[in-house]
Amino acid sequence: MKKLQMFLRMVGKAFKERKSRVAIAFFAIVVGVGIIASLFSVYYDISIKMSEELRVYGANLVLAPDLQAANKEMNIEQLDKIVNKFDKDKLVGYRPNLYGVAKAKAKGILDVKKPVVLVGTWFDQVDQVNPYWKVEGELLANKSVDDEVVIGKEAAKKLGYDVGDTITISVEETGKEEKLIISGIITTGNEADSQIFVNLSLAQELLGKPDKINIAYFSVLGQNLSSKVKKINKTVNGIELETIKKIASSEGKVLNKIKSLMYLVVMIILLSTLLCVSTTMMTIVTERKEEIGLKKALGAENSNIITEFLTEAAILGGIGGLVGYGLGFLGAQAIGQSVFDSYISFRIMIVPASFILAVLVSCIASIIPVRMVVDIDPAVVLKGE
Amino acid sequence: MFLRIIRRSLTRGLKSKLLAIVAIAFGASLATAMFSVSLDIGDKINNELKSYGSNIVVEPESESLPVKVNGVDFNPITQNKDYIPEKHIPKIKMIFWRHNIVNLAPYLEANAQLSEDQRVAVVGTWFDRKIRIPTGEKFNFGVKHLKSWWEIQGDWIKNGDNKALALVGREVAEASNLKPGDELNLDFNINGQTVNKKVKVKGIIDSGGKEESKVYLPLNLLQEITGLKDKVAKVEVSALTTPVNDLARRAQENPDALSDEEFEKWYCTAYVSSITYQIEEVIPGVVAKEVRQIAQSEGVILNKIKLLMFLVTLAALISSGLGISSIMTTKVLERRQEIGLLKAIGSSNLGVIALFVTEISLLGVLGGVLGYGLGIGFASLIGQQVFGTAISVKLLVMPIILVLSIIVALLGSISPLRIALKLEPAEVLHG
Repeated sequence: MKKLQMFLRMVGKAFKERKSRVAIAFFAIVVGVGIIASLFSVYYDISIKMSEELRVYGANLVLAPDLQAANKEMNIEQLDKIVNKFDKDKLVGYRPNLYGVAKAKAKGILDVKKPVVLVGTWFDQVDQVNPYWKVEGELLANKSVDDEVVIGKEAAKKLGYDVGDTITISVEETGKEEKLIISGIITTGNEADSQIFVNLSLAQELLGKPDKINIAYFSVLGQNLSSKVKKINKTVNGIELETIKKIASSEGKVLNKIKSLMYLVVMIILLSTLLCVSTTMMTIVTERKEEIGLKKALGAENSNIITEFLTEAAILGGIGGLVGYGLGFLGAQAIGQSVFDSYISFRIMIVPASFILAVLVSCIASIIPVRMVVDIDPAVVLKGE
Repeated sequence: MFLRIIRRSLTRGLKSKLLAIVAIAFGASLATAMFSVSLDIGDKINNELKSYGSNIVVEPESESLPVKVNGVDFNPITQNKDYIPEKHIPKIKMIFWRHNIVNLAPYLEANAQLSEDQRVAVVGTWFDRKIRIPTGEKFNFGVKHLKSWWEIQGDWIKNGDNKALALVGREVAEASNLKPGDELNLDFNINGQTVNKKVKVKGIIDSGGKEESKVYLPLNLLQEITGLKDKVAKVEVSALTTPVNDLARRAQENPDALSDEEFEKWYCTAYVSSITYQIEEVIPGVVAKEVRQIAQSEGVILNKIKLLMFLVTLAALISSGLGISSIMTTKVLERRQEIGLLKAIGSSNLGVIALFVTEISLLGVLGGVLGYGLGIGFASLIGQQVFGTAISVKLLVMPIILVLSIIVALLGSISPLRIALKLEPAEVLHG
C-alpha cells in the first residue's frame, strides 16, 4: 500500500515539478495525434466526397429503349419505375429527353424556316444532370411553363435571336405551331448548342407523342454502378439502362488515383509525425539521467524505474491522444468545409486508434532512452552534483 | 574564440545533437515531400482527368444548323457543307501551347445502308495515326488514345490508312449479328449513285455512348468512298488546361476588349479559351469550342484537389514545425548550465544569443539538407506509386526548406533561451 502511494506520488511530482518539459511533450503529442487523426478522418471520407465532386461531369447512366422498341421511344412511366429502384440519397438527378425535328422561323429575313432539333425536357434537373451548362438569361421556372423556350447558342446565332425575343416553332407532321418567348440561351460545347429546348409536356404536345420520351439521363452516386445496372435491367422489359463509360469508368480511375495519393501522403505524414513526436519524448527522457542515477543510488530496481517511466508516458500519451483526437476532428471539419463544403463524418474507430497510437508512441519513445541509461553506474551520472 | 566554441560544440557534442539533427531532417523531409507533391499535383491530376476525353472541338465555320436525331441527318442541304482540310490538322500541335495538346482525332461522317431497311452512321477517323509535324517531332494521334473508355471486343485498327477495316458499335453488331472477322457490306449513296464497299470487322466497340450505333472506318477510306479527299468535318482535341479565372472569363466574352498587357497574360496562360483562340489563329475558317462538360468540370476538380493538397501540406508543415521546435526547446533547456558558465566567465547576453543562433542555424542547415534528400525520396515514391511517373523536383523547394528549417529551429529556441538568460549564473551552477 505504502509502495503504491509512493509510486503515485513520484509520478505526480514528475508532472508537477517539470511543468515546462511536460508541456512540451504534451504539446508534441496533441499536435501530432491531431494532425494524424484529422488526415485519417478525411482519408476515410475521400471516396464519397470526391465521387460527389465528380458529379460535376454530369450524367453517368443513360436509360433508352432497347433495340426492339419501335421508334426508339418509351413511356414516361417506365422512367418512374427505374427511378424508384435507386436510393433517394444516391440519385443526384435525372432528366428525360424527347427529340423531334421542328421548323423555326429565322429572325428578320422574310419567312425563312429552318429545321432544328426540338428537345422536350425538365429544366429543374439541369443543375444536377448538366451542371456545366452556361445559361444566359434563365431556364424555365417549372415543368408547366408552356410559352417559353431555351435555345442553344449556335441556334441563337444562326437564327438571329436573343434573350427576350419571340420565336415561332412549327412541326410539319402534326401541323402545330407555337409562339414562344426565349427565356435563356445555353452554351455547352456539344450538340445541345444547336438544339432548342422546351418543357417535356409542350414537346409531347407539339410532336403529337403524349407521354413518350426517347432517352433519360441519370446522375447517380456510388461505386459498382455496372453491377447495379445489370440487376435493374433484369427486372425491366423493352428498355435498357446503361452506364456512360466515358464518365463512369474515368470516374473510377480518377477516384482510385486520388485515394491512393491520399493514402501515401497520410502514411508519410504519419511516419514523420510519429518520429518527430518520439524524438521529442526521447530528449525529454534522456535529460533525466541524473534522476535515474539518484533513484538507483537510493535502491530502486531497474524494473521500478521502467514501470515509473512507462506509467508517466502512458498517462501523457493517453491524455494527449484524446485531446489530439478532439483537435484532429475539428481540423478534419475545417478541411471538409473548405474543400468539399460539407462535414467529414465522425468515425468511432479513430478515437480508440488515436488513443492507442499516442500511448504506444510515447511509451516506446520513453522506454528506449530509459533502457539505455538504466544500467548506468549512479556514481557516473551523479558525480557533478 | 567564437568560431572555436562553435567548432567544438559541433565536433565534440555532435552525438548529443544527433537527435536534434534527426528530428529536423524528418521534419524537413516531410515538408519537402509535401511541397514537391503539392507543386506537381495540378499537372498530375490534369493528366489523369484527360481520361474523360477531349475538352475542345474544332468545327468549320458554317451557316447551317446541324439537324441530327439519333445520328441520322435531317438537314436537306448536305452538298455544300463546310469542311476542314486534313492537312491543316497537324498545325494544332504547333500553336503557342503545343506541349499542352495531349491528343486529337479528326472525324468525317456519312450515312450508309446496311441492308434494305437499316441505315447507319459511318464515321471516318484516325485510330492510331503517326503524325510528323514540321518541327520533325512524331506523335501518335487518334481515338485509341482519346477514347480511353472504349472497350474493344476484337482488335483495334492499327494505323490502317486505306485498308478496308472497320470497328463496329455494339448496337449495330447486335442488330446485324456481327462478330470480329466478319465481313460488312456498306452501300453509300454518293450524289445519287450507290457506292458499295465491303469491309472486314476488326472489333466491336462497347462504350456506353452514341458510338455504339455507328460504324468506324479509317479516315482515308471514307474520304475515298465519299469523294471528299483531304476533308474532315470535326476535330476533337484533348488539351491540358489551367482552371478558368476572372481574366479567362472576360477574355472568353471578347478577347479584343482586354488591354495589351491582359491580352498577353491571357494568351500566355493555358486557359481553354486561349488554346481555342490559338487554334482558330493557325487554321483559317474554323471555330474551336470548349466542351464545357469536360473543360469546366476539370477546372472544378483540379481546384478542389489543389486546395485539398494545400491544406494537407499545411498540416504536414505544422506537424514538422512543431516537431523541430519542441526538440530545440528541450535541447536549449538542457544547456542552462553551459549558458550560466558562459555568463559567469563574462559573456554578454548578446554573445550567448549569437553563439546559439549560429549553432542552431548550422543544425538547421545540416538537418534541412539531409531532410531535403530524404523528402525527394518520399516524393518520388508517391509519384511512382500513384501516377507511375516521378514527381518533378523543383529547385525552388530547396532554399524554402532550408530557410524554414532554420526559422523553425530558431523559433523553438527563443523562449528557452530567454528563460536561461534570465537565470542568475550562480543559480544554475550551484551544484
